[in-house]
Amino acid sequence: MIVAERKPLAEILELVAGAKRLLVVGCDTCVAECAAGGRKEVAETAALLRMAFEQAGSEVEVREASLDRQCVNQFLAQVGEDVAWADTVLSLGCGAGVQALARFYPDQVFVPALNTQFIGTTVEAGVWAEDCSGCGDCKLAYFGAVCPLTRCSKRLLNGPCGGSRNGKCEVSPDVDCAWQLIYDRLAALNQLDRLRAFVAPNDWSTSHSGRPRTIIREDRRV
Amino acid sequence: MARHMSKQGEHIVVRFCHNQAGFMNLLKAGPKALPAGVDLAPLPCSGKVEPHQILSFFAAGADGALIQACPLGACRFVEGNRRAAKRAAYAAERLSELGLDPARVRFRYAEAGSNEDPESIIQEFIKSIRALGPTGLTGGRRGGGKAK
Repeated sequence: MIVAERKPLAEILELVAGAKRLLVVGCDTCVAECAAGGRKEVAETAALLRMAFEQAGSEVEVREASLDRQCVNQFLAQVGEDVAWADTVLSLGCGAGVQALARFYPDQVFVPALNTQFIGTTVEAGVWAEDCSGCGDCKLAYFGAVCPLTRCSKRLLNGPCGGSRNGKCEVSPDVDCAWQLIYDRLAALNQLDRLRAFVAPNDWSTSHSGRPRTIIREDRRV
Repeated sequence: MARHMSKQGEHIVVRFCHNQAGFMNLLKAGPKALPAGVDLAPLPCSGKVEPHQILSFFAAGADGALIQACPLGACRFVEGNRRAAKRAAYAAERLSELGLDPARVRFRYAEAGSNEDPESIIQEFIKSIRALGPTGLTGGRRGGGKAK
């Protein structure tokens, strides 16, 4: 899922300055799971904004809405009336959600309430960690399903650096050494021989470094 | 949220786990048994409270919010009261973003084995909120809904 965090309230207030009819719209998929942009966070943000506007003596009407998915056109029409009512829309979706809304409603002003961070997983309640860099050339099969490109601070593909201590990365004692995880997992799976294979340097042309990527499936087009 | 709201004095929201018998008895005694300006309501568990609800109380004009939970280790849902404590702390932090004193949100565990007096707990909270003064927020309520 896409993991994000809400921007500081002061920054959001700057972004929506001048609004008189503000629509706060969330997304109930990824950013709801990471407690950044679901309907609860919409209610939270709207409450904070209402208080901030009243403190500032600004008469701003705030409406709340949430979509199942902000990144899929089929859902975006559900907020058509609210978007038409608003003079500014504050999106609690990820960066893709904000842009999808803006494409769908080209005449409206959209601003982001979140800082989109990474593709990650819910490690435990309240903890989200980065697991995937979206490199476009997945090599997890070589590494016991632990991605060194994402989870090794140095993105090393052929073994650990010399900075690993007690299973932790020298960059931070809070960060697991990805190569320790890879070794432990392959050992547990009796697949340590996989580490004998040389893994070529990553082909970053398949990543965003190559260009903004588009996938086209003709069989799914209408 | 509008229940029992007076047009004078502090506006206080109190939410409690319905297993808190003293608070439930106070609720059953009716509005006249409550201090003016207190909105008292039960929850199936204190863990039902969410930060956005607490913040909405303040956006609607509350001056303080008190969450009363079961004693530590005595939640029938095991973790509900501990989760409520964290959520109340989170909501209090968000109030700080607006320059409001986080002490306007108070979470308290009931003391195990004691017969706490809910009226005195609420009165003490009202006193602490009175010391902070009104938030200056009316939540759009008209007619002088806030203490000056």
